[in-house]
Amino acid sequence: MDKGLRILVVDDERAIRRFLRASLTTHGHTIIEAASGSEALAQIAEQRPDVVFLDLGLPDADGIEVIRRLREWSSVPVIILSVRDQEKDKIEALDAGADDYLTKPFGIGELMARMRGVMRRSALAGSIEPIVTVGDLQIDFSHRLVTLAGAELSLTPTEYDILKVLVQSAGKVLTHLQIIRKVWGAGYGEEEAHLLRVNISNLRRKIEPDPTRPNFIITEPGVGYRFRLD
Amino acid sequence: MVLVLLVTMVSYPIHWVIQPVNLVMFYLAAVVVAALFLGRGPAMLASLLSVLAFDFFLVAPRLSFTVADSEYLLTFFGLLMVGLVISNSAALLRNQVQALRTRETHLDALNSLSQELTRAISLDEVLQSVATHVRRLFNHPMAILLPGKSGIHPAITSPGLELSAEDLDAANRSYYQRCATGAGTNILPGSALSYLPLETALGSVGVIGINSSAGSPEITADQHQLLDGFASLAALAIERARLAEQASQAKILENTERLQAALLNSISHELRTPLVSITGTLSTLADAQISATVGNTSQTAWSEMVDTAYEEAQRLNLLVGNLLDMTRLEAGAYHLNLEPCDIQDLIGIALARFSQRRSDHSIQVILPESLPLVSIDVTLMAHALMNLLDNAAKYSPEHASIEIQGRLQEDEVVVAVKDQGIGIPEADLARVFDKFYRTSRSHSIGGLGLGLSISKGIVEAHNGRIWAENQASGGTMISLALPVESIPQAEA
Repeated sequence: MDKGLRILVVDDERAIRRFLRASLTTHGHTIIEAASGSEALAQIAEQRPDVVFLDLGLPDADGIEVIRRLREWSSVPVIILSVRDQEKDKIEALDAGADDYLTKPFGIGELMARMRGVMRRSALAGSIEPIVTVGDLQIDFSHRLVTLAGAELSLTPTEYDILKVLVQSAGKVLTHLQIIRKVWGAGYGEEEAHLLRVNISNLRRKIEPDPTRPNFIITEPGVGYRFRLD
Repeated sequence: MVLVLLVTMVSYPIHWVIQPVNLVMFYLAAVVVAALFLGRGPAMLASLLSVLAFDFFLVAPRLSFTVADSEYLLTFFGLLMVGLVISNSAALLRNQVQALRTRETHLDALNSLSQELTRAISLDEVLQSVATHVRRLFNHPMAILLPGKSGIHPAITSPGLELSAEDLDAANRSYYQRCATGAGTNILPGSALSYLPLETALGSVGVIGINSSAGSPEITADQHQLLDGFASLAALAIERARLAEQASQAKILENTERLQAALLNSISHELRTPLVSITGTLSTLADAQISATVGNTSQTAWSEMVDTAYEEAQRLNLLVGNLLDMTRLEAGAYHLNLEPCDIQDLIGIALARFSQRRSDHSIQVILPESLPLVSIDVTLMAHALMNLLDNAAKYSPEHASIEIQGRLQEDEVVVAVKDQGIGIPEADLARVFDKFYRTSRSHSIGGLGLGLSISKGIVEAHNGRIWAENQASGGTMISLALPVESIPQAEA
């Protein structure tokens, strides 16, 4: 599925573009490069890449602005590549429609995994599997049934909803706000943050063998949560 | 006068018992008393009045100035003469006693000033103590002026005292010409204060000014001498304080330079070490490609080399992050992104990051079922906690276990990291949180001494506390306490 993709790398650092080109080409992908936001938008319109790696700190435009403008006419998967300490930017980028983010420096293996994740989700977009199995955990959406190693778990309605939201976007980072809006409704916001924390904590106690070393629900510090796919 | 009246009143009723001539003695006593306590003038007046009263009341015919017995004229004359002589000498004695007393107070004042100045270390203390003494002794507005970049300027002044341009001019002249100026002298007598240079063997160090016309009483010649004494004591003390200040500044500068040199050494060492294996691995890889010797190098050797390089690159990344964090914390550039957080989650994040880097230590987590949420910047706090874990691992034997313990203690959540490592010398327990501080035991282990100080910076930015202690069973325990704020603690 991820063989021979057309990948647009947007970064103003030549060394990073060069490194990504070298390593992604050996994996059989075709690389297109852009060094600025405007160039990126032009390349996407012209070259129609399968996936975009976008740096947030671009010389001419804010990466977040690029995503916003891009999302008006394209649903191409976008993975943010950012340096540390940009939690706010990451959240904004994700809320603006980015699919995932990766913090620099990163290993190429991790980048490939994230890319596989977003490609799978974009392929599955719209269709929801009725039963999802991850390790020992099985979620049957049609019967609202969650089992761990065959034993049925009793989740509160809120816990079930949170799990469902996370599993349906498995592999992808969901920001706190995105989860809150999907579980509690569009009228809710960051004021419900503590409710989300407490529910996640309880949910972990029910599904994770060791809640301090979570297997399923991974915290993305300062950003949100991700349901581990593999 | 009252005295004479008193004596007369006592003498009159008893004059028939005692010969009037002997009553003269009472009058003489009155004169002596007057001379001792009231001075020369009153004593002379008392003598004169005594003669008149004696004549009027006690010598026949009584109640008249006429004298029946002309012998009494001699008595009058004797009484007057003796009275005058006594008043004169008694008054002289009194003056001498007073002068001695004044000198004693002056000496006391000089003595106490010199004692206080011996104790005063800083320039400020010296100035304060001189000012207090001058104020205690002279009830006049005063100022001490010290040389600055642009001439002499007031270092300490009596409250409410403003120095005019002319005053400053007089003070400057006093300082540079090393003589008394201002009011009461030939140089700029129009200024409000009179100025004395503060001189030592090495030159003048400042000027003291006093306004002798304002306030009371006027300054006497004696007091001028005292002021001179004060001035020389103050001059010596100011010079000493100056020299001490210069010496300590030189020392600070020397220490700073030494610290910077050590720091630079240590940073370049820490930054270069990871680069050694990264560069080495990459160059080996490049060579191998060129000479096609890939096959000669075993698979394990390759992966070991690459793994090391990868780990070292991560170490380098952490180091750069720490330096960056430190700079930001110091510049106050961190904006805390506070959000409610579960301690279990916080520990989870720190553990996840930690195990990416070090997997050879087993970590036990001991947490009660439910701890209240804390309002923190999760990313930063996880970083603080990870630094503690990193330290625990760094200073303990390989595969030694580390324990993380969380508990609620009053209104704080305490997270403690316990290791079985080399421990911290008691004397260093507080200093390990200092920037770039490394204990004597840690020199064989690489590091910059930044981790704990960053953790401290982060915890304190959250109004929390962090401290280190040695465990009875060996090893160190570092705890951080975070206030549980009034964030709503929701039920599930």
